[in-house]
Amino acid sequence: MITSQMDGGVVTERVSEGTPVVYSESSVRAWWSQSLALAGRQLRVFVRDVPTLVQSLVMPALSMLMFKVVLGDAIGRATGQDSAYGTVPLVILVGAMFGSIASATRLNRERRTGLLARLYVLPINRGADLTSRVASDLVRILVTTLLLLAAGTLIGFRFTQGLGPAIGLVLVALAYGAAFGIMTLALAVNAAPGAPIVPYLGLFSSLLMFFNSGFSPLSAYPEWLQPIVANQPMTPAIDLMRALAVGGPMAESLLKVSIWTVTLLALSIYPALRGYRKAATAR
Amino acid sequence: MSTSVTGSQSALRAPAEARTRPLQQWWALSARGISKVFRNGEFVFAFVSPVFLAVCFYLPLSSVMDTFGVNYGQFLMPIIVLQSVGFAASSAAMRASFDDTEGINTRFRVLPMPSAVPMFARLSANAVLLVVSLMCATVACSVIGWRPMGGVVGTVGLYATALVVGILIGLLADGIGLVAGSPEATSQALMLPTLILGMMSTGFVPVSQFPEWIQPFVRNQPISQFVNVMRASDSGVLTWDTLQPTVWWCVGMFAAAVVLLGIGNRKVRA
Repeated sequence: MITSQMDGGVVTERVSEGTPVVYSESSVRAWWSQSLALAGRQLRVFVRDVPTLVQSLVMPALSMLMFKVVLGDAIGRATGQDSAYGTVPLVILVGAMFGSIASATRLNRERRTGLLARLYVLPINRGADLTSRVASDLVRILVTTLLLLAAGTLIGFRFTQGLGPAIGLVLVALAYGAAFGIMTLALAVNAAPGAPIVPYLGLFSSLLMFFNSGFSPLSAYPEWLQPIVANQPMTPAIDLMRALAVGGPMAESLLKVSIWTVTLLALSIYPALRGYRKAATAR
Repeated sequence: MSTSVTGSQSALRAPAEARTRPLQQWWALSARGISKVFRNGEFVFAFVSPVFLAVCFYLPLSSVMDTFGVNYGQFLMPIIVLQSVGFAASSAAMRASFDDTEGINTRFRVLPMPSAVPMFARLSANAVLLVVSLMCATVACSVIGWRPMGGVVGTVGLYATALVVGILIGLLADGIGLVAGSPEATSQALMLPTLILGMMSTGFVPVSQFPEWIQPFVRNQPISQFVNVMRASDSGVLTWDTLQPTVWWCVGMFAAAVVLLGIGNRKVRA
């Protein structure tokens, strides 16, 4: 049996039949165990926050149904393709985005109430809380994606390419969600405490939601707008998810998704770490 | 030495009875509500929301709808106006809810003021926001190609419908805000009806484009009826048959608003 306790900046793990093993708070072992504990806390907070839970799960599912019922036939007739294969990926990504915005709101609230500062002075790994937020976001995205895929079957979404591509589709959602989530975290911790970051992020996400190949076929947009729509982060992700579900070319979409994901992560990780430290130590 | 005071002098010296001036009170509270609307940046959102809606639906879907022979700029106008009206109403609900949770309504109860004054003041502030929203919606719709086709009478009918519906939805939302108990609960209560009734209406696509099983609901729900009246007015072909369902929906909304405001008022008093 292994028992774990924190004592003066070190994590002590006592193996019942052996001598205690001591890890410093900056060790990988401490980071791992503390990140898990804090991720559990984040998930419990998320589950208990009913309005956010409704917004993250019920609203995307309802939006999916709405898009299919309202625009499905019109777009289907115009393109000759079942609109569900655009709608389901679109709503999965939108769910991931709006969930990340809710997480950013919570982070701002915890910063305002002094929780970040309290965590910062405790003898725990400096990166544990930030890691826990990203990890809990990934768990939330995974659960939301699976639920929305299940709901998608009601409107005609099917995996025709087998298990591997189906797992690939979920991984695309996770990669997109992680990149957007870390970008949102970076913005949240670097913004001034009273800054209207949530309305602006909401507006930006809503724009992305309407101008992509999942909402309406690319050819339906005005010509001057098509290059923007084709290359914004959501469109290649939707095209890749569609290809993974029903087949089709995916090399270009995969390349674009990879570029967007790596770029967003590269631009966001350092500002997130620096901003988090600043937010936690600010008086 | 005794002094005698005439009746008129004693009347002057007696403490004046506290007099209520409902009109002045209404004016003061209306000014408070309107200044709050300005401060909170609601006028900015009143402009942004119709523009955003017009752009987000017109650009992606206009060419798709052209294949069905629909002039989408003209077609979208009523729903953009009604969504702007809906924004003003949800704003009213949130204001009523904040007033309730912050305890200002309870304070108003103990002042020498008729109980209807705060409600009428909120309605006035909402009417101002509603007019601004309608103006902004008109600009947004003009940009995407809407033009008034029903002459003076038709255009007046179009805006009169929007204004009446807006005031009634505002009253209803005000009641919801008072009854719901908190801004969060108010937001939740408004979110689903707005989404369902807004999207599942003839505002964005013609009823023939919906699956058959849902067409009866889409055709008869209130937003579709309001849209029908506004389109008929805009085309100059409004008849009593088209108008009648809207009149009944308005009567129903007014009755529901009265009930909710009554419950909300009683809750404040308790």
